[in-house]
Amino acid sequence: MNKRANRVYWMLFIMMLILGLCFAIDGIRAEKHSADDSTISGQTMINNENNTAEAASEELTDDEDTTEEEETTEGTTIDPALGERVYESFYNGQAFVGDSIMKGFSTFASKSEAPAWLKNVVFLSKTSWGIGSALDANGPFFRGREQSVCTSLSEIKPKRVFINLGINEMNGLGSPGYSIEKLINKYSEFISKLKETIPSAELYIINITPCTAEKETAIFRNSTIKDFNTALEAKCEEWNVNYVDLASGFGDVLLPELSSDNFVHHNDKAYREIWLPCLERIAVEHTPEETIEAIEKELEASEDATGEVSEDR
Amino acid sequence: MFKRISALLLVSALVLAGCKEKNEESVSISSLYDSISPMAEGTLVVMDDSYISNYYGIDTADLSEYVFAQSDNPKSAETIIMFRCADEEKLKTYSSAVENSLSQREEELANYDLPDEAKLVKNAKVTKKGDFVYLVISDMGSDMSKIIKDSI
Repeated sequence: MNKRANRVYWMLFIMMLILGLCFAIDGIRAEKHSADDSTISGQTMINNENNTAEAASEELTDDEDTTEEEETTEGTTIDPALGERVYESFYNGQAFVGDSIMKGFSTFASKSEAPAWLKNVVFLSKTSWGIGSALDANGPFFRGREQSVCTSLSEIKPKRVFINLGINEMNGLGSPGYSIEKLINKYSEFISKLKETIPSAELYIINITPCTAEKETAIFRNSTIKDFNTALEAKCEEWNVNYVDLASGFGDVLLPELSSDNFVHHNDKAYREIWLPCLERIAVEHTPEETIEAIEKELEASEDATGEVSEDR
Repeated sequence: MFKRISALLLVSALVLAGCKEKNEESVSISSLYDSISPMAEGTLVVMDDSYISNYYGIDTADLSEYVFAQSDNPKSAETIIMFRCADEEKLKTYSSAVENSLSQREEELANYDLPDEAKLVKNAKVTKKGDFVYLVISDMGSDMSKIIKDSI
């Protein structure tokens, strides 16, 4: 009995040793894992940095390879490096207000492929939002709170506000009791309130983009969107705000390859190929020439300084 | 004597094994996200600091680790949020901010006639465990949450 008990204790002892060894190996592996594994923020930052570095190196290569100027959609030409600075200075800290299409753009802005100048834009977007509800107290979620868009804008104090609203109401325009005129009047109220809230801000009204041909119905038609945009453009002059023609970049109908849902929402290709060039063009068109010249001089000075440092090395 | 030592060793080993989960360094949010994000139905986008600050009012400098990912489709509710914050007050404020966002998200999706997506948001809960906060909104939410729960 005693011998058998001793054998059991020996076996127990060996098992303890194995267990201890397992703990030791586990500990070493965990340590190695934690060393290898950076935090998600670290990883994201590293990835972003890599992307930025890649983008920067691509830009540098472009600059070295060619001195060709980038041509924007309406023929405005600007050197790409200068363009980046101009867009950055024009959009940094500015507000973009809109519905789910804008929400999609805000998500696109977080992607690594989004340009640096889009990274510090403040988005105030809400799915299923529209002109009729733009003045409601429960506007887009901002800094952890649901509040009216005017309250948020008074906190942001942007120099420029870009607004894209109305697609959700295009359906209603085909219903009795609704009309383009009534909707424009609602827009007018919104503009007045914005001017009262942020009097020094420049307002940019982005027109409504089309839906896919397949999803047009008797009461939701691209021709209605077009009519609304025509009325909106005329009113923008009266309101003394800027009209941004984004829709023409899409043509008469939204092509399925530019839509995320084959309806009205945009995909990355649309944001990249239609939205970005349109906004870049707006930035160039609305930046005073002397500002562009000042940015250009700054850029040349920083390039000279970089060149000098390289030569010193 | 030998009997006593062995018994003591056995008890110690069992106690150690029981405490192992709590004593060892918790799994990183990065690894957790990597393990659960492939279960998502749609394409998730890891949102940047600027968005997190503007939308949730969260200063990411206060977080030791974080991921705020959401579907790139505005008509989808799919979301994965995980963060660690050592400051108790800030942890409370930040988790409330995430919680507050749920009612608007639910309203947005319900108004858009997406009742299934709205229901996902309605059933979602912000969970706090120590300095760790997480929220999962997805068809696979319960499976993802279980993985998170078992790992922290």
